[in-house]
Amino acid sequence: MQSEDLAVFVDGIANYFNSTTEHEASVGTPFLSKEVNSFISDFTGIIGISGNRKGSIFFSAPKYMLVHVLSGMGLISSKDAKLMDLVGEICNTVSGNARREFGEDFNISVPITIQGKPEEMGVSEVANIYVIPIEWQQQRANLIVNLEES
Amino acid sequence: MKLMIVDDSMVIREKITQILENEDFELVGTAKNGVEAVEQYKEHKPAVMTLDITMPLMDGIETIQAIMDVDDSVRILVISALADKATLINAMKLGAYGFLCKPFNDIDLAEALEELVEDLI
Repeated sequence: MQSEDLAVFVDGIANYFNSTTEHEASVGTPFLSKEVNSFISDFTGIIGISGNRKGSIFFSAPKYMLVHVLSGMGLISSKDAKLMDLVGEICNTVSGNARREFGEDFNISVPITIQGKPEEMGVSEVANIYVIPIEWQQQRANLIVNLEES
Repeated sequence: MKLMIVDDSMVIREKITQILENEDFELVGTAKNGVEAVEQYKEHKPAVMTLDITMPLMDGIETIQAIMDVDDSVRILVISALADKATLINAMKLGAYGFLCKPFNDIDLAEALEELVEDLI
């Protein structure tokens, strides 16, 4: 994956927080990882990618942070079902926005959401996994980008 | 004016509902996929619909086609994360009336809705 491709996701996740809440997010420097499990938090949204890129995009965040993001949107809830929905929607939005750069052949799936940390998260062994750390209101989430060109 | 919300995300459905409280719309239905949307459209016949694109069972593009086959007078505001020109052009060609890219805030949606119906009021 090219560094310009990574910038699309860095800008995308920053834009999500800046647009939907009154507080800006601080997006840290992306780094390479060989696995994703260490970066999975309480709730995770996953989008599958096919077409001109293939792989997956994860957004994973702690419960407390998601409750506050909802609150920032003017929606008060700490129900797990709603927080699951929110991580899926964040992941979907960042992935969908990437089509502005990657075009209509960058196909995104509907989101899959999980709660907690499964024993093993399956990702392609050949692709580079980039972790993009996000800090918002003293809480940390991760956007994980696992893509390769088709 | 009757309005229906179609989005697979309950958070987005709630957010749009909340914004509508300050607008002159009567919410007559919500749907989480295109199949439900077509069924509810036939029942409620809203004048305005907000519609997501990426949804299970029937996506937003197929939904526009199905709704237009029933009644092409409905004003559809597509609210989607898909930010490429081809998706926008395709939706508009099929009969969508406006396009709002996610993420959006309260002002973005209120303005998009006002623009959508300004010649109807």
